[in-house]
Amino acid sequence: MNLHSCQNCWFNGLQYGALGIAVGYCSVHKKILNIADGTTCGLHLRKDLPLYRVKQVAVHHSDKYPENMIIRIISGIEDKRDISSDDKDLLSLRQDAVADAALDFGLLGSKIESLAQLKAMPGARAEVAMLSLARGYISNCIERNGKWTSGLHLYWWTRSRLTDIPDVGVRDIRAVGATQLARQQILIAWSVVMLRLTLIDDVVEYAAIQDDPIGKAKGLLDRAAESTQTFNLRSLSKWLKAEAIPSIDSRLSYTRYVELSQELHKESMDMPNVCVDDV
Amino acid sequence: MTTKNWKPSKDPLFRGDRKSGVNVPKANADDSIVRHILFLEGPGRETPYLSTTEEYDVAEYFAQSGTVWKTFVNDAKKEGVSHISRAELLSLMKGNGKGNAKWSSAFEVMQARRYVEQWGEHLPDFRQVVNPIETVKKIFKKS
Repeated sequence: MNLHSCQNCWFNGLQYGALGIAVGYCSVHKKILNIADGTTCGLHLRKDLPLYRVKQVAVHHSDKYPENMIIRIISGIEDKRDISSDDKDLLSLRQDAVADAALDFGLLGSKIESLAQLKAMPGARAEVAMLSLARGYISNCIERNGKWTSGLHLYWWTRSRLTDIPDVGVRDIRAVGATQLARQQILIAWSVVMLRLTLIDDVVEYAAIQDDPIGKAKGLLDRAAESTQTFNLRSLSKWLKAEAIPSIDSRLSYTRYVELSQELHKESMDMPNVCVDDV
Repeated sequence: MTTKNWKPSKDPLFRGDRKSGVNVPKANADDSIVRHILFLEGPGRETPYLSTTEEYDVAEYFAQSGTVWKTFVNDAKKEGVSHISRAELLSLMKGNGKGNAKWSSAFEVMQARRYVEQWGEHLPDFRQVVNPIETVKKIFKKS
């Protein structure tokens, strides 16, 4: 799976590596991605990397590919068969609940509403859709001079289930690659837990720039990998409970979360255009 | 973990690439293995390695509209191309990595390790090859 293809992009909530359905959907171009493993565009931002690295890689990527069209990686050609925005295809895709919510992202009044819908759905696919689109949502808010707290609720939702082992169903798996099915499930589940931690790490990075205490919790991804060293989900979950949760909760407790939420709500009432609920 | 017991002495390594030919590695390019596997410099990057897989289906997936090429470890070795096996890659990629897989981020090492396992990845290593263009033509055939 090409790491710089649409399957591995923040803006495609329907796939991540071997997890997902047959087609992807780009929430920027508003197109169904028929061969998401073979296409890309200049706006690509990688799901599998931490924020600082995503930005480094994106510079190379945007130099090479156009922003306004989805093209094939190998040939560099735009092939209309690779994408679709036909109503019949969109209607068909909406039969899938996760896709339905992902398609609404950016179409309805509030993007956070679509993310909340995804948060409420069971399964790893809904979670990956929420986490992927959330990374883009928070990044957009920050780029528009928003506060790190634009990701506050997404952070908290993710923190609340950080130690849970994701439910990766057999129907959620697109390919087994060179592994056996059960092993693929474990590797996918590990990647989902680390995607949760990546979103938390994103928010921590933004908070660090804005001098908030939660910004001191940097380096969680590396510490998790150093401490566990294998794809054992129980070990990872144990480490997260013992190390990661105390580290972040000591800087952003539930009480502080409630206070910040109330401030955020007040700001959105005072300045409706502030990037707290929509971008 | 792989679907079959791949043997370097008799089983091929596959690579999905353009129909016109296999990408040409650069012998003296940065030899960080994690950088290579994670594809950090994106398309057109210089690398002394070529990613290959034990599984035809995986290579076909990467090829998309291109072609699946194949080579054999022994044929490659005769042309001065070393072989970094999947097992060796996995053993190098723990913590912050060892040898040429040493890397500043343990998380990125783990991601690379996951990809090696999922894709059954092996790296033909061109660092000692004098003429990579001719060597690639010689050792890779259409599958």
